[in-house]
Amino acid sequence: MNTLKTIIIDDEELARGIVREYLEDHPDIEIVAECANGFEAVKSITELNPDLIFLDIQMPKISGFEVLELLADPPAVIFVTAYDQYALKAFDVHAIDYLLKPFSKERFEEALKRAHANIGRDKKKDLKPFIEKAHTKQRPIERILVKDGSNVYVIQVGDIDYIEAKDDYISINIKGKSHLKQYRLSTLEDELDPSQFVRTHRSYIVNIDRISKIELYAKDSRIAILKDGTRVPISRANYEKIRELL
Amino acid sequence: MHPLILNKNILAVYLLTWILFGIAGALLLSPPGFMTWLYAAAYSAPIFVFLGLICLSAWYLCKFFPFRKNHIVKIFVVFNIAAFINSSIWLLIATEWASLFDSILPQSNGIGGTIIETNLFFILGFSLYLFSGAGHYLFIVYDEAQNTQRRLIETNALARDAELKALRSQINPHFLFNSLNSISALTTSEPKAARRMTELLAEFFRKSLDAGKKEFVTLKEELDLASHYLDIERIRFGQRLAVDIQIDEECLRKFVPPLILQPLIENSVKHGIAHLIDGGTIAIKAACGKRTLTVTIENPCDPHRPKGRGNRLGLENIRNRLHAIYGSKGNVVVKEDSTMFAVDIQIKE
Repeated sequence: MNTLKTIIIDDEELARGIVREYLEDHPDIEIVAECANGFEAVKSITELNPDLIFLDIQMPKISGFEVLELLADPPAVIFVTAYDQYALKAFDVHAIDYLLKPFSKERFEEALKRAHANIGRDKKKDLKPFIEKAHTKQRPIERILVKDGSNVYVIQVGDIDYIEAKDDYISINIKGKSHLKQYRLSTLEDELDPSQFVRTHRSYIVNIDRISKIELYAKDSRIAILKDGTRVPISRANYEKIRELL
Repeated sequence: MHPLILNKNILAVYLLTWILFGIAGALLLSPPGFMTWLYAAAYSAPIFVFLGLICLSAWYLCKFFPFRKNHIVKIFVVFNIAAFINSSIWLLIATEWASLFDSILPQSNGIGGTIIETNLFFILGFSLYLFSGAGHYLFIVYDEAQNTQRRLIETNALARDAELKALRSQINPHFLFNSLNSISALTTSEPKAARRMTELLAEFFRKSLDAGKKEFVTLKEELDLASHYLDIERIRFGQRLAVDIQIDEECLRKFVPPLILQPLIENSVKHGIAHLIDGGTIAIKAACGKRTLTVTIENPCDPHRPKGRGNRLGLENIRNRLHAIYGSKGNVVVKEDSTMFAVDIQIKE
C-alpha cells in the first residue's frame, strides 16, 4: 500500500490531537501538516498536495466548505465536526466520510478504510459543482474568497468596482487591481445584492455606486464610465434595467 | 366601533330583546282586544328597537368620559343631559311615527295616538338611557380587568419562555459535544486535565440547573457560573481565549435574574472569539449605585464575520426577559464597532 499524505485541519488543538493520536497506528499515513484555520489550510493543501484531509467545518474566517470551494482539485475529505446539521451537505460534496465529535477509534478506522478504498479511484471526478451546490450561502453574499497561488484573499463585496467574465474565470476588480477566480458570472450575479450590483453586459457586472455617468457610445450602444474612468460596455437589453436602478 | 356591532349574534339577541320590550309595552298600554293589541305591538316594536339603538350610543359617551378620569358629578351631569336629549329625540320620533302609523293603517283606530303617553315615554327613554350608560360603564370596567389579566398572563408566559430558552441554551449540544471531544483528546495525553474538565462540566451543569429554579441570584453566583463556562471553553480554545473579570464587592452582592448573563457570554465566545484566528479577551465589568446595576460584557470580533441571526435573537430574548421582570427599568444596550462588540445589561430597582 502506498503511503498517504494527510493534513489535519481544525482550529482546536485538542481536536487535532485526537486525530493525530488515532493516526499513530497507521504508519502508512503521513501527517504532512496541521492547520488551525482556513487560510493555512488552503496554503498547505496547495503547496503539499495531500491525498486526504481531515477537515473541521466551523473555523474562523474561512469555513471548511469554503476551503474546498477555493481548491481547484480538492483532495479526499473526511469531515470532522460537532455539527450534525452539515452531515447531508458533506455527502453532497462527496466527502469520504463524516465524523461527529467525539468519535470512537472504531468509527475512525471505518472512515480510514473508506478513504483507502476511494482514494485514487474517484479522483478524476470534478467536485466543483457539488461543492458549489452544497455550500448554500446566505444571500446576498457579503464576501468573496479568491485564491492567488497558495494565498487566500477575502474580498468584501462592497469594495468591488466591477467584475468581468473571462472564459472559465471571473476577474474581480478593486481599485485598479484584479483578482481571478474560477467561477461563473451568472452564478455570482444570483448571489450578489441586486440593488447594489447590476449586470450591464453578458460579460460584466458593475457596482452601481461606482458608475459616474452613462454615455452614448455608438448608435444604439452605451457605455458606463466608472468613477475611476474605467469604461464598461452596456448591452441594449440591460440598459433599461440600469436606468431604472440609477 | 361599539363591540356589539362587531358581534352579529349578540347584536341580534339585543335587538330581539327590544322587540319583546316593545311587545310587552303594547300589551300593557293598549286597550283590551286581540286585534288592537296586535296593532299596538306593530306600532311599538320598531320604536323600541330604535330606542335600543339610541341606548347603544351611550357606549361612545362612556369611552369619551372614562369613569376613572372624570369626576362622578361631571359624569352624572353629562349623562343626564345626554339622556334628556336622546329621550326627547326618541319621543319626537315616536310621536311622528304614531301619526304616520295611524294614517297608514286607519283600521287600527288610532292606536298609535292611544298608547303614546308623553310623560311615560319620556321617563322610559330617559331612564333606559341612564341604565344603558351604567351598563356600559360596567362592561368597560369588566373588559379592562379582563385585558389586564390577559396581559399579565402574557407577560408571565413571556418570562417563562425566556427562562426556558435560557435553560435550553445552557444545554447547548455543540458546547457539550465539543467539550466531550476535548475530554476524549485529553484522556490519553493529559489524564489529569481530562478529569478536571469532567469536573468543570458537571459543576457547570449542576449550577445552571440550580440557577434555573431560583427567581433571583446574586451577581456573584451568576459570574461563578460564567467562570465555569469560560474555564471549560479555555481548555477548548487554549491560548485563543482570555478572560478578564473585574467587579467590586458591592456589585457582586446585587441581585439579577438567573442565567441572564450566560447567553451573552456564550455569544461572545461563539460570535466573537471563535471567528478570530488569534482569539482575544472577553472582559466582564460592572458598575453599580444604590439602586442601579450595569454589567458590561465586551469581546473583540472579526469585522467580516458571518452575520447570523442567532446573536440578535439571543439579545432579543434577554431584552424581553428583563422587560417582563423589571418593566422599563431593565434594559439591554448594544455598543459595537467593526472590531468590538459590547452589551450592557442595565437594571434599576
